Amino acid sequence: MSEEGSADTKQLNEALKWLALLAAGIGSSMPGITFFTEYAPPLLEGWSLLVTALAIPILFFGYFRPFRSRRLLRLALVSVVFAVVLLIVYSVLLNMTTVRPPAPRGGARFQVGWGKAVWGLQPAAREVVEADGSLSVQELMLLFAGYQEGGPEKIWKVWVIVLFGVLLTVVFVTAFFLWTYGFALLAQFLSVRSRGAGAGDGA
Amino acid sequence: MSRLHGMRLVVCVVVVVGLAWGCHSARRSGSREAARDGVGSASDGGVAMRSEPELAAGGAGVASEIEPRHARVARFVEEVRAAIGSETAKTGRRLAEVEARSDRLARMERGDAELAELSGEEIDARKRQLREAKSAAWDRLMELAVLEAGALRASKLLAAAGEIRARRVERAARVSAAWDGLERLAGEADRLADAGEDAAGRREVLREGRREQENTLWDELNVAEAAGKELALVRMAEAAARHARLALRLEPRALLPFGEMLSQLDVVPAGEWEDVSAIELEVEASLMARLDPLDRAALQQIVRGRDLAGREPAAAGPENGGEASESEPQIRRTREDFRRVVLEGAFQAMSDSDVGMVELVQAMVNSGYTSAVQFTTSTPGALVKYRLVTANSATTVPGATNQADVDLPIGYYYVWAERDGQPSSSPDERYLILDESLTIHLHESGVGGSGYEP
Repeated sequence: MSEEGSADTKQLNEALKWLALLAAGIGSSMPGITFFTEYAPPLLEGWSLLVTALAIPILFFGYFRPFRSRRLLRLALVSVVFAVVLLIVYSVLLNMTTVRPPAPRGGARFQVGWGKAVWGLQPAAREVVEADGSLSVQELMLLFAGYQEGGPEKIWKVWVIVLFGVLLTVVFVTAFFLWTYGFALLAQFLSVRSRGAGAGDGA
Repeated sequence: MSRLHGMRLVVCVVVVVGLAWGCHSARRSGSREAARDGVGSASDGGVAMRSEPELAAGGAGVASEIEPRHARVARFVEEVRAAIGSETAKTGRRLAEVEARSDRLARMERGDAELAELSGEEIDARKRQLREAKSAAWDRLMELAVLEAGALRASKLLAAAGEIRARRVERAARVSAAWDGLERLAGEADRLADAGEDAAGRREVLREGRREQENTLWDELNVAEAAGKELALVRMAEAAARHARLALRLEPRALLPFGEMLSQLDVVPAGEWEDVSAIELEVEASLMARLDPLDRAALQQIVRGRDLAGREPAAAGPENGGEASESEPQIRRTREDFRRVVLEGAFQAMSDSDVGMVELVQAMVNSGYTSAVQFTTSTPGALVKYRLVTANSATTVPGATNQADVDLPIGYYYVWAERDGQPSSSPDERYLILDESLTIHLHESGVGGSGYEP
């Protein structure tokens, strides 16, 4: 009876340890998920919640896919490092290719082209920028009433907007996936290591 | 050579001295015994004369003593002679060797002399002979080396052949093992074939079951298709309702009688139903004229079709030649069904996985920032015009001041007032319209005069 009790206690301890590790992995990636929710690209503004909802399947996929221990840690670190690099790229792209309404309105970002680069501007906007180079992107948007649906297309060429919008979305989604996957692998690594230590203690 | 001769002489001297000493000692021994025998005889003769038998006996004893000595001396002499003989033989051999060496020396001396006497040509000829001999020796040596290399190679080949043979043996073992495995697999295959036959039978049973299931699914699919058609009708109703709302928005006059009709359906006296129906039909005709043909057909189907009970198209109105003799409950039921279908269609469209999600996302995506702007002037009644600073054409705000308000996208605008077609305020006044709601007061100059004067 006591042996069965000790076995149950051991199983319970292992389950709790597993849950704690998984919770640690999810908790570690939560700030990232918050970031991904709040700083979604304009094209994904309505879908960012759905994208971030994929965090749980990715976490489980990364957690339960078997890897060798040494390769696991390397993959996790590579994923997180690549995610950070992509986030840096994403931040640059976000600031260069999107624009918010000026204060006091604020609000959601609009997808635009590559700043005031003349190769991406429509002829009318190019004339305005060439006439007054000190204009900001926000002022350019206000001059053309660009803060409405179809507004940026009056200022920037459509393919430029689409190009940077898609690029921003791809970088965002990839960074998100890598970030979540990296933490899931890290959780699996900690779990494997913990089990290995437990087995070592037991031995 | 001189030392060798010296050694021989010493040996000869030693041998001769030894022989001489041996003879001398043997002679001395014989004389001493003879003297002793004579003294004894003299003493006997002198003291007492011995008898002849006694003498004979004494002579016999002496003779018996002397004979072994003679024998020893004789052996010794023989040994000495043998030693001398062997030494002489050795000496002879050595002398022969010495003579042979002397001959060789003599030949060498003669060879030296001959060499000294040889001419340059003969020397060259001999050198040539020696060179040829040397070359022949080298050739032989090379042949030997080649033979040795061949032997080495042959030994390596033998070793390789041994390895190959070992590998062949190993491969043969593997092939044998693989053959055993194949035989086992063949056995497994036979068993699987047997099991496959069983499975084929089961598969037939399953296929029968699947056919039945497919038939059931087809039935369900037909039912679902019918339901889908119903749903499509509901969606068409929803679309028709949207278009109706749009048409009503575009035609406010149509809204009033329609709304009034809908609100007064319950209180209209029974005798006036024909008039109400006529109004309703007029409104419907007004809506229908503004709808697309497809939507019009859908709306007609919704309103007058089989989904709405109680009214047939032929009996819908006087324009069709039918009688407007519908009873109050029928019309009320028709209206209620119309409302129900429209509302259910709208809810269904919103909750549908495709249309609903698209509309939800469209609702979530930012559709733009506008500002509710109200324009005022000190004296009411002016028209307000505006244009973007980057645009060329101006737009007139509906209504006159101070009842002129409009939702404008945020941006920089030129706004001015006009009276009698002439600007009464500065048309170059630029405004940043940014806040959610904003009131712009336009300063007119020359109101009542000839217009704006900068």
